[in-house]
Amino acid sequence: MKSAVAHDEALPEFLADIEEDLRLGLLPAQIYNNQRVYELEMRRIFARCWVFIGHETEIPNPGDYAARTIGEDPFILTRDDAGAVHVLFNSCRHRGGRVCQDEMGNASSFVCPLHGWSYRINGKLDGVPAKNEGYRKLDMAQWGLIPAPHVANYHGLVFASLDPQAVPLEEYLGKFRWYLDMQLLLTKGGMEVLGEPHRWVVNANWKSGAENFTGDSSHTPMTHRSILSLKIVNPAVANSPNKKHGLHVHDCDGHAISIRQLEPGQRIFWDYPEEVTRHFGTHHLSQAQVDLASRGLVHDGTVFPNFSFIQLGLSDSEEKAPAGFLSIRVWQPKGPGKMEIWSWILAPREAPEAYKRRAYQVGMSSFSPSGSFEQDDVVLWPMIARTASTVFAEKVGMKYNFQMGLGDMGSVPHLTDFPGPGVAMPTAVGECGPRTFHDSWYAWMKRP
Amino acid sequence: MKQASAERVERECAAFLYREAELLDAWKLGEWLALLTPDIDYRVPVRTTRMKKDGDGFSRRAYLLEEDYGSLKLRVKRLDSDYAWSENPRTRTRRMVANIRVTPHAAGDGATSGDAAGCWNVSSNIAVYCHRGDEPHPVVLTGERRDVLDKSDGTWKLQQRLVLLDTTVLGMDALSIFL
Repeated sequence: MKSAVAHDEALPEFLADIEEDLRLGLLPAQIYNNQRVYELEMRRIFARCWVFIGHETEIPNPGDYAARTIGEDPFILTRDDAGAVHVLFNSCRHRGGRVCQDEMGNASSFVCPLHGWSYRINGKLDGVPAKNEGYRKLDMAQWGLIPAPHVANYHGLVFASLDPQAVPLEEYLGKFRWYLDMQLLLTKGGMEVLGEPHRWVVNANWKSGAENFTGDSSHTPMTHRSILSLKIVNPAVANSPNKKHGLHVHDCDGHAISIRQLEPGQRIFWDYPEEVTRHFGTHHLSQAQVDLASRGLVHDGTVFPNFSFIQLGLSDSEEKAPAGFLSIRVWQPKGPGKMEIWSWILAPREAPEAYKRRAYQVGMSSFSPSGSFEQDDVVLWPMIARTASTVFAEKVGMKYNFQMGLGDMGSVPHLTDFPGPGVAMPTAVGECGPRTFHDSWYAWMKRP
Repeated sequence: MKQASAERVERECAAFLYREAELLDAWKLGEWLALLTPDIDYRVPVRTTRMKKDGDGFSRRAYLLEEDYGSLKLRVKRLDSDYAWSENPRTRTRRMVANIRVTPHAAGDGATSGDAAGCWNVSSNIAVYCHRGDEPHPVVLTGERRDVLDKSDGTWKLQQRLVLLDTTVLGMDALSIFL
């Protein structure tokens, strides 16, 4: 299926020089469904960038493992007996057999079903059948499962990079850590994953999910009209995008976040109840971060390329109080017009068990395959990929428009007194987040 | 449980499930809600692929649907909106219900009265064919339902439903139907 695309292969003609278009907020439609672009993305983005693998609380015990994917390549996230976390290529060194057949579990070793090579949970080659007769000179130390060149744990989020030359994760996340920390570190103990991830396949390009979460605020009133009309969502979120409650932060070292919030001095903390917010504080955060979080109705953002988060509060029922939760997700590419979504629901570790149950239910009811918000996103994104694959769009050089709020199009300047990094726009009217995502995308794609 | 009575209960349970499937396929969700008890417990657990020694892979913590009456009512309200894009245009569904097995829910249920009063464990297999838009091939969801049907008040109602799907990765853009 896959054709060989060399690292140094030139970009397709229609991508050769799009810098001017990007400055104008325009993007060739084809990139959302094009085989050649996809193959280059696999090599230039997914084999180089830091990609989210899983949360440390998914593998709490020695021997725990979970099967994961980088681009389309299979890896295993494991925790060894010393507590260290590994990301190993799920492929036997002998003949490429899958050494891990299931999705998760606990084991002391992985055994390849083809010829029986066995590996310890840390990837070291442990046993080769008939070694003394047929593999007497095999250097066991050289034939372990191949580890991802770089693995790092950022406050529970495990990322890996397949590029030996990758910059350290902290540098890759850059100043965006200021916003990421707000999602992860409001309590002393941080966040905990509540249960196995949702996984489902959507006929859309992976970039549609990733860019949506950087701040596609103007889709909210239209795409989500059905759920917004049901009075379970805070009116400041449900109303059309406006200056008062919107905040978009872009150009934050390649990443972007969108915020809906109450006015200064008001406090809601994404509708987490007092039994949870009493654990919130400046253990790991500055007062400015806590202040911003305290006004938060919705925070959603994307770490380039395909890790997104959304923290918000709402209810699943007219009879029940709203509850806050954090959803994290991966838009895993599965072809130019197809992705698998992996999504996890999290709550602060200190939250009472009964609250975690409630947070899970509310999270599932809104952001999951059956989620009242997510349902209406994922059935519409395939349209973007469908148009992108048409001959006509190619012939007329169709470009998608991301000009909202750009330069003279917009009506407000960026904030000059905002405490956080990046460029902060005091409005939800604008597409600066997606534009940051596209700039990152093109910068990585251009690099041979 | 007398033989005649057992056959009658099975017949009535099957009729209930067929009637329910008819309402769901016809998108008469308000009427469907009326078939549920106010304390309905409705769950579709997430499933993972596991080795044999680790069991069937059904999660006890993660769900595709984990509902009570209030949350189901809210879902129905949203789905009835013209702006619920996941179901406008509607998915055309066909639910096949088969392999129905009925046992008393608790000792004594229906055993003496002979009129099926009480609660019954009703297991069945389902295949739901989902057609969307102009895609000629359906997405098919198969699984086992483990229901508790209640006839305490003289009419059959659904009190519990656990749907054990066969898939681990959902092959549809959104799960916007009830199973």
